[in-house]
Amino acid sequence: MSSSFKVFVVDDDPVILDIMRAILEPDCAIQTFSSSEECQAQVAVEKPDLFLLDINLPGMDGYTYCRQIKDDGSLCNIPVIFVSGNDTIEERIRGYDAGGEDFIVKPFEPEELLRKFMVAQSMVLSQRSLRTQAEEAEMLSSLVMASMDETGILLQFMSKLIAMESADEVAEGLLELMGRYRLDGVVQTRLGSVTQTYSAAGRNLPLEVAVIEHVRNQGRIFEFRQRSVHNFERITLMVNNLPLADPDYCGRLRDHLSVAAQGVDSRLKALHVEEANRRAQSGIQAALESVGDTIMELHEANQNNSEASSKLINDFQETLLNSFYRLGLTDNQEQFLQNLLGDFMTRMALLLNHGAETQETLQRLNARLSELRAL
Amino acid sequence: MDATKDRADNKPASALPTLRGVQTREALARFAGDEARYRHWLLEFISHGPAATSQMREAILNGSLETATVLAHSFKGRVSMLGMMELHSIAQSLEMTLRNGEPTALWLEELERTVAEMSQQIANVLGDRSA
Repeated sequence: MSSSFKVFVVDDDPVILDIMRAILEPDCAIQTFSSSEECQAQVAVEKPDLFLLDINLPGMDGYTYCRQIKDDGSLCNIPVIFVSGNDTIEERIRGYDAGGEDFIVKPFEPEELLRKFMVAQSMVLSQRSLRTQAEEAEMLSSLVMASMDETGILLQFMSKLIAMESADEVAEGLLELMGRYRLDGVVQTRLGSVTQTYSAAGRNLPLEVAVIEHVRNQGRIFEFRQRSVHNFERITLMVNNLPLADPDYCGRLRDHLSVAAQGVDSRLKALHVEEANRRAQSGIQAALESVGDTIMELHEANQNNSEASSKLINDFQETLLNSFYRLGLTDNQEQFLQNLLGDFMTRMALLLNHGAETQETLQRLNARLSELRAL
Repeated sequence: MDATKDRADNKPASALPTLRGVQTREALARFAGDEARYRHWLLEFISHGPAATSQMREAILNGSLETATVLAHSFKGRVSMLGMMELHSIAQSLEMTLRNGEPTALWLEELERTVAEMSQQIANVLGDRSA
């Protein structure tokens, strides 16, 4: 058994104290007192794990002392066993009312005293164990709460990250996240050919840029003194003030920052792809406009040509008919030429009609291009 | 299995001689079988017993019944632990008489007489030179 288990015995009879000592000494650290007052003085120095109190004592009686013990916040959890020469129900009720845990009657047998002692000891040790477990549970619960809070900050950042539209916005968000973890640091983003370095002190400060350029190729996670660096393809995050005094918190921060940096890297990649798509779309749009313009030019040119051809043919027909009377042609000759002219005019009109179809095709093509540009 | 019983039953055969009116075996067990310790308190009784009864008588004569009651109560506790069960019964009767405010002379005399006999017996048997 544990000899560190302390028992204070109060009895004005040295025989009883000697017997208590003889029975309990092998199992505990026992101290004996001949009065409550003497015991009180020692309790001010050290606290026992169990009291064995006689009831009839010179000065303060056992009941009164027990009540004082139970009224004292620092002592009230220590069990009290009364040792009485009177085995009456009244005595037991008074002991119970005073806050005592047990009652033993003189003359007692050693077996009975040992049994009661062991029950009390077991109770004290159980309470102590429960208190320890409760303290541990409380500590664990605090850690979980803190961790949940930290995780909540990270989740909030990740949910905002999805909606961030530029490297500037992403970097500022990451610096804010670090701030919420009470961390100072530097963030560098690399989006396409554009590299930007951010910190609370400003943007692209030469010394910070130089440090980041030095650490960005030191592996995924790199630490030196209070600094911690997280490197990804498009992002480098450097913490300047890692709280090394709290290793658990440090460990959680590493995990959170690693997740955040990885998320930022993915977001920057997506932004890069989006930007490339935007550029490609813009090029296609410009090409479509250019094609549209060319079609319209073709359309106009074709229309002009058709009109000019039509006018030229009409002029030719009118000039030729006007010239008949001056040529002195026979009716047959005149009729032959008119038929010939009519035949060519019909063929020319067919050609011009084909030109009109081409115009219509060009107009439809232009309308379709306009639709594509509008998408 | 039952450590308390094993410990309590571990009563060495007593080398103490028999004392009339004393449950030496049980009392010795209370001293965890420490015969020297028990012998010490038995011998101490030779002086303590008569002194205690004298104090009771004096208190009663002075009308300090409360003091007499406390003395009788304490005496009762001690003799019971020493295995003196006859004395325990007499002391208990005296204590009850005192508490009830009844005449105490009979029980006090009985107690004094029995204490004297016990002291004498212990002195004779255990060979105390002071008796």
